[in-house]
Amino acid sequence: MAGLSSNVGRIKDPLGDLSIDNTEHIRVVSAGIRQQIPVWDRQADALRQISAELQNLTLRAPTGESFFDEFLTAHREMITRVGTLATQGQAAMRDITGLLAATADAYEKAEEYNTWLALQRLP
Amino acid sequence: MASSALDALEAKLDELEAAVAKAAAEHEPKLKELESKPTEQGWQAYRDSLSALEKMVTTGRGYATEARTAVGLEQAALASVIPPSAVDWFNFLVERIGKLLTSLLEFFAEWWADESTVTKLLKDRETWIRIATHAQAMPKAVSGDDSFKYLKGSAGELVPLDWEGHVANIYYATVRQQAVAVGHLAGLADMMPTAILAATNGALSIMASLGALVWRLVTPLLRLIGKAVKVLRSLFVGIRRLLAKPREVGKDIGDIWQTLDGKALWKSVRGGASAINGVLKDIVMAFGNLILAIYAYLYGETILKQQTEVLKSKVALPVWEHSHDWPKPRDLAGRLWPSFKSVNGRPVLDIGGRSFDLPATP
Repeated sequence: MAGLSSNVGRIKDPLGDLSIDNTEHIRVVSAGIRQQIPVWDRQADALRQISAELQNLTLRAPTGESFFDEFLTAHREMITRVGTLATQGQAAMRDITGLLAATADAYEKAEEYNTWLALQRLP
Repeated sequence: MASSALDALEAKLDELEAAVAKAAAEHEPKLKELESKPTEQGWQAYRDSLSALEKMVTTGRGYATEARTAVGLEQAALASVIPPSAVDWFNFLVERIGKLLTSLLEFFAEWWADESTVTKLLKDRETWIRIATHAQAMPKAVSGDDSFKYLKGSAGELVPLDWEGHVANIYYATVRQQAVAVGHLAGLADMMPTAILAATNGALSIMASLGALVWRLVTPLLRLIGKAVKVLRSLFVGIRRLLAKPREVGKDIGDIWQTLDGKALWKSVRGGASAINGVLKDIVMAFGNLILAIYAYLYGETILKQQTEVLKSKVALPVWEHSHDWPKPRDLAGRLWPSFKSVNGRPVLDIGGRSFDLPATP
């Protein structure tokens, strides 16, 4: 196994016994992981819509002469707060979809390697 | 002739008084109802009421100015008999009422400036309802996600997502973490339509209370001008009648008051004064209602302050634990997520914080 770094062999542990064919399970698991990505994409879409709707709010600041000024100040703080959270939430959703895709990739790549490794060991 | 001006004015004031009384009978009960049961739809009734009131107050103030001018002309015409000081009380009364009506018009102007705030707030409430709808759909999508538990192979066997036991646990922990944040956001968005409605209803309660008070006050005020004009008109008409026959009844004005006509004149003036007294009583009663209006004002203001505090406290709430920021999935257990990447052209697998270099497979 020239060229393999010394730690590669440890992948066997998480992937199980190399004598067992895990290919189908890895396919099911990685497909299952990828199926979750649209769930988080929809969450990101909802957060984008919330950000867009916040732009439609007309009373974004107190007028300085209104009976409602104190309430409008609190309203402005709420707009800022929800806007910040919606932006941060979109980043979190992107992060999760990225993690899910990377995990599915990792499963598939590791299985690809193990299959290759098993073939190398065949007499 | 000035007296004809007063005649016309008296008729106009009678007409206005009748119109105000009719409008007050229509609008005041509606405002009283809005005071105790404010609704979003109630604003239109309030606007209509205020608009009608403003129109009448403007007309009344114009008549007050006209009355002052007409009385001034009458007094000037009868200056030999009636000194300017004799109509001082009227000028004082009309001036005070005029100022009061001007203050009311200023109140209306301020209200109309705030009216756009109410309209915008109610429009923003609709936007917040849409935001809340988007936000409310999110927790359901996330918390309902347990499909990883039921992944199955081709033979129907359950396939565990248990690479080193990490992935499933990390994923479910991430779902819980994100569900908390999404729920927090949904909670903020969800409270806004209610808070705005409570605030605008509180304001409507105040406005309706003040509006009802103004209706109660304006009616006797306009009636007061009308009665005062009637009294002076009687005075002027009586004096003119007496002046037309001075030789028959006496040599000087002092004698005039001893005549029957003089007594009739006095009786007329006294009747008018009594009427004024009755109207003043109405005004005092209207001011008595001010106490109720103040209570309504304080009640409405308290609601507005409460809603302001609710908003502030919700804004200050942390999203999770002590953090005000949306939780980052990588902060939770980012290093435990498996990842595959290419480093310097070589494939690298990262599991549980450990990196594995993979040979390029053919």
